[in-house]
Amino acid sequence: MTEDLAPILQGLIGALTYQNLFAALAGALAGSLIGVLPGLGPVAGIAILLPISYGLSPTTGLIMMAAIYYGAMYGGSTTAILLNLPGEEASVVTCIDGFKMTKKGRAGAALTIVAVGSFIGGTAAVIGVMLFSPPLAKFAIVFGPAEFFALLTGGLVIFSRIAGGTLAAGIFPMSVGLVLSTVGTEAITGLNRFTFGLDDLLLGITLVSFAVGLFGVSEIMSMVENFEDQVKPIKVKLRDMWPTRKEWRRTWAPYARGSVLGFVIGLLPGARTVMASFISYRLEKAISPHRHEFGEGAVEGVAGPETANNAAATSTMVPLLALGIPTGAVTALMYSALLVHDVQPGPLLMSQHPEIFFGVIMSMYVGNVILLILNVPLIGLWVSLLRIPQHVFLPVILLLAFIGSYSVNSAMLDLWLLPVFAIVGYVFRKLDFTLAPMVIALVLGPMIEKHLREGLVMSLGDASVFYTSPIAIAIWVLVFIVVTLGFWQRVASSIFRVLGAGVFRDR
Amino acid sequence: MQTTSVSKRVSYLAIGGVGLALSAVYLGASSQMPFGTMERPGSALFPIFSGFMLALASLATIWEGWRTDASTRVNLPAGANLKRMAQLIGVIVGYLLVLPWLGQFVSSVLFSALLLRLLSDISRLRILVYSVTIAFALHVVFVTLLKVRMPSGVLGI
Repeated sequence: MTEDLAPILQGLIGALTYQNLFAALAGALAGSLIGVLPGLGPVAGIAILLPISYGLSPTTGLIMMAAIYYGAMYGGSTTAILLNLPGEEASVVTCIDGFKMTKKGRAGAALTIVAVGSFIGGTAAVIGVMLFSPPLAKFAIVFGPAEFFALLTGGLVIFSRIAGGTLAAGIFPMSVGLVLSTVGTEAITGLNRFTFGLDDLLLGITLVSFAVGLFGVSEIMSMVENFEDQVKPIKVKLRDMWPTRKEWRRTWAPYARGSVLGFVIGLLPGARTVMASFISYRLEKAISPHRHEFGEGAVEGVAGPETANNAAATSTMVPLLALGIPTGAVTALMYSALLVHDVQPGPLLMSQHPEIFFGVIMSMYVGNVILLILNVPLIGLWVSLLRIPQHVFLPVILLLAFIGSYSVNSAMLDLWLLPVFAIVGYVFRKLDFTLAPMVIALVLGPMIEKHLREGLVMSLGDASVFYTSPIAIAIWVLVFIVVTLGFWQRVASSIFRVLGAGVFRDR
Repeated sequence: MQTTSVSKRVSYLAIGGVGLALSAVYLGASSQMPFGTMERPGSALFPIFSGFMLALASLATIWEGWRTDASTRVNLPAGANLKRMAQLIGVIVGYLLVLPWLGQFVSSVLFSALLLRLLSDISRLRILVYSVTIAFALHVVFVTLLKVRMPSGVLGI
């Protein structure tokens, strides 16, 4: 028992050092700001700050990035409630009842309910991360190259399929990301692949300019496209911040359900926090005794979804920490940050770098407390920031994007690639393609190649190793089911339709 | 808002076609790399794997485009919206062209000024004040305090 607690206590002590506390504070504030401000989003925001994390220790860098992520989840709900505009996609659902509460003069109460719900969801998910990650990591230690190849490739395909939209909408961007991941000096033989004689491409496509261009600058292009639509926030009085006793009583059950639902959904590859908030909203609407109020300012319609999306954002850390598999664009960025520090994410992270593993988990407790303490009094500040015209914000955000991209390698090519990836991201958004699989494929591509080649070398060229391992077989079967699920659903519907017609004819 | 639209079906077919062409070129280039043996795979193995994934994904996109209802449209900017987008790209390209010569600070002032002019109808004096303030603040935070190395140009700032 003492042995199990020792690394956890060590992680807590590590999380409470001045450096890590400051990183959690800075990340939470930056994340809240990123969530509140239009045009940036947590992926682009973390990508811009990624080069800063290179100068920090791996633990501190990861703490800051995680804090930005769950801070952004909270910040996005502020604009959803005050402006009926989601600051980030997971807050889309919060617009429905949150803005209606604002129109009834309950904006402050809605913001407080969200703040507390985010804290509860995030904290509950951290407990889940602490309980699930170690046994999962211990199980995955038996994985060899064949299992990892199956897990990474299969996970990438599943994620691309589930992440949203149609099969092509996920698989096409994923494939483009895989192709781009081959650019650069190949690790084993040192051959330069697709560098076209450019020294700046020897290290491959820079992740920061890729993510910032694809997510951040393309989002700004969409904003500029429809620029006349800007909404001013309603004034919020701080004395109206506290919900009534009746409102509080209605929040506890949605908080609990949202925490569990969000945590489970966040574990799944391909699941996005927006899925957690949508499913939570539907659940609350289905079982609430006040379901007639949904769409008109129901407290449950705000409490449940926001709790769920924060819990999901936190539980995405489980596959990253335990298996070394990023299941979203944000965790893909964290994955690459660990690689830069020469730390190999995977099942051995817990045993080889317990200070990183438990330090990050413990810091998420601390970060959630910081968010709760800071964000309620800072709501007035966020509202003031929203009054600053967008035409002032957009140059700042774009210049931040340029600085962040250039700072990695001091290469002009990284800056020139920004508008290229921005146009790609803009076109893909128009066609309802999902962008996250592209980022994950770019990050995971080198690891997939490594495990593919290792598997062949270790098996002396016998490719059957990739489909004879029981774990690999299970993963490939799951991939097949997920990719072809739509087809089987149509086959099943056709069979039931034919059988049903037959039954009626017989009668 | 001024928009035009294009058929989603045509868009998917076009993207799928481009993807298929790119995968053909990519696979052709990959085949020039050493494949090695199965016991010691070479540099070409993973690019060929990725190229085939791209080809399959392109075929899936073409197939989905074929099955898409011809009446489904994709909104594209037109008129003033399109002009604004083109100007934004132009300002970004202009910034990248002058950055090595004029340096981060001056380029940022010009970039901010042009973007503010594009997106608002505030006075030129306010544009100048905002632009210099934005460029100065970013310069102090990132270049001076965080020691991020940005181009200083011929002016050395």
